[in-house]
Amino acid sequence: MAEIMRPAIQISNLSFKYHEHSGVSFHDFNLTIYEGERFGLFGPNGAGKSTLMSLMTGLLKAQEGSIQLLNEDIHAKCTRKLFGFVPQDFSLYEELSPRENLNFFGAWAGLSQKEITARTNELLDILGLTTVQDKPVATFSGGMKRRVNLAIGVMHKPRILFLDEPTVGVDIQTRHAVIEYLKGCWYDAGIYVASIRRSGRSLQPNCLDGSRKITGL
Amino acid sequence: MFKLWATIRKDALLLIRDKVGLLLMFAMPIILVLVITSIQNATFELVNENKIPLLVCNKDTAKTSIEFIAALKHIGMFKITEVASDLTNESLNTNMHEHDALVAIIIPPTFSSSILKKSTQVSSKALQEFGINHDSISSNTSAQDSTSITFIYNPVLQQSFRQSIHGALSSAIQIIEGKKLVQQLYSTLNDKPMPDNLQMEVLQKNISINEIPAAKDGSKTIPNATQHNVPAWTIFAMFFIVISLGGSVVKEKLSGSFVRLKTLPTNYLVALLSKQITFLAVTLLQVFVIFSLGMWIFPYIGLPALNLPKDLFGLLIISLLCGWSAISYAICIGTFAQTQEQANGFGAVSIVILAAISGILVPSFAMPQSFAVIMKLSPLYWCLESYYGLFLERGSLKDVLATALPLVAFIILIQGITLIGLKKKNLI
Repeated sequence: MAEIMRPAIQISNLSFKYHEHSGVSFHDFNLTIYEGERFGLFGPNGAGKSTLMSLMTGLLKAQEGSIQLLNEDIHAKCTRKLFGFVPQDFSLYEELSPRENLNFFGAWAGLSQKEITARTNELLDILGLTTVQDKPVATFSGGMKRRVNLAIGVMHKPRILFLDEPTVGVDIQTRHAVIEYLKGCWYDAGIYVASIRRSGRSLQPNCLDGSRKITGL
Repeated sequence: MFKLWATIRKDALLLIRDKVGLLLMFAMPIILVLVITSIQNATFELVNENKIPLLVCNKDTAKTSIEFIAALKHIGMFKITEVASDLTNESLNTNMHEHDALVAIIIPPTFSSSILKKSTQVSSKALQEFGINHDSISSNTSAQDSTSITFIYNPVLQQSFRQSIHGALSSAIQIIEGKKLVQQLYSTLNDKPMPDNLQMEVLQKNISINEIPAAKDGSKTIPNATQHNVPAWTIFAMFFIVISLGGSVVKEKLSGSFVRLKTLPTNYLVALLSKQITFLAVTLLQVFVIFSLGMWIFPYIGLPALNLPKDLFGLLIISLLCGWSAISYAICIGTFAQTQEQANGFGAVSIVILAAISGILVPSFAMPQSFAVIMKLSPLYWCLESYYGLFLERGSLKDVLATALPLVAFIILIQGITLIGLKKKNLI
């Protein structure tokens, strides 16, 4: 598979530490993830999964080395259109409804009003949020909020999707809905990077099954 | 443009759904303006329109003390109640409470004799200067009897108010002293008492004082508590937006949504621009609501109505500058604060301090000289001066440009500091 596909994420000689006196987080780290590949990051708390995720999404800047997403530098403005990010924390406005959240984040992702409306309707339907689309997210359960969180991350149909523990703390029904959706969009979107604790194996047997993994960073 | 519009829509929705924030932005300032204006209006009326209740305890039995009381009545500032002459200081104090009087005076038994003695001495001295020898010249003219009127006041009276009462009492004493001196001179030279009509002619004030507010449009609208307070507290309300806006910037910064915003292909400056537009609309709405209250509701509750300046375009521009200054300050606080508590605490306290040194809480003319420079550091000072230029001096935008330009400088400076802060924190 790797031979026929272009690299989607290419990390070269990456070195990073939080500040001068902290221990080295990454030193001369290299990794290539190819288009269409599903990739899992596994490790205990503090192993550096989220740090690597932050570096790959441009939230942190490496001291040395480079990260390229589809041959574009991660810090180039145009790169931001290429990926979607679903953080572990609910990255949304709880005072707003799912539709209002999607309208706003869709605009920030560069979609037109027409595209936003169509995509919002589609996602609300797929993720089972249609009946609560106009209610404030603050009134939702954790599982419902996670669905909205995911919908925002995939709103602009990114080619690369970063998922940080997308099913942590949710009920079986929501976990199933999230996994089914991720399995469904696998072929459209390309790559998942999922950061999952050892105990959180929910994605592994399903959408990450058979994928390449890095365990115990 | 679509991104900006979507962000404004989001900010407006968040604002509308923040009931406590709305209460802080609208209800609190309205209550503040109502309470402060009512209190100040009562004080204005007490000083300007109502007579001050004054108890007079006259221990002097001679005629001059009666003339002194008549002179006090003639001044028109006091509602005089004469009480028994045998009262002590303590019992007079009790009487003040019973009569609801704020001030009382005790005329000493030697009052008349002291004034007469002084007039005799001064007239004799004067005649001697003219070369007219007179038997009544005292051998020791410098040894005048000194006597004092005791002035008792309610401790709640402010010093400025006490001083104006003190001035009125001194003026009445001078009238009596002058009268007695003229009488003495006349009777010494003519060996007969001075005729009443001549006495009146001599003592009658020839020069009156016309009070005219220095309005730039030539109008003679008398400034009142409403004209002073409504613009002042509107500025305070606009700057108090720091609680809502500063907190909102910190909240967004700390929340997960900000992490996602940083990964999207839109600059965070769009979010800041949206906040400025949304909250500028809020500040203008505050101005509209509070000014409307002053114009249309105040007269119904016994307060003077607010008179808008003639230059309404000038009023709009100044309001925009005041609002923008307030918003720039709030965003700057939100940018540098680490937590919402920091933003709210520092924001609120700093606004109260800036209001205090700007002349909103205490009139600037009443502040110590050392504050003359410090007050100019407060943007609220320039807002207040600009509004007063329009409302009290009835000026136009051209007349208040000198006080409006520092606001433009403040906005540029504070926005620059905010951008540096955002850059340093890697937020843009």
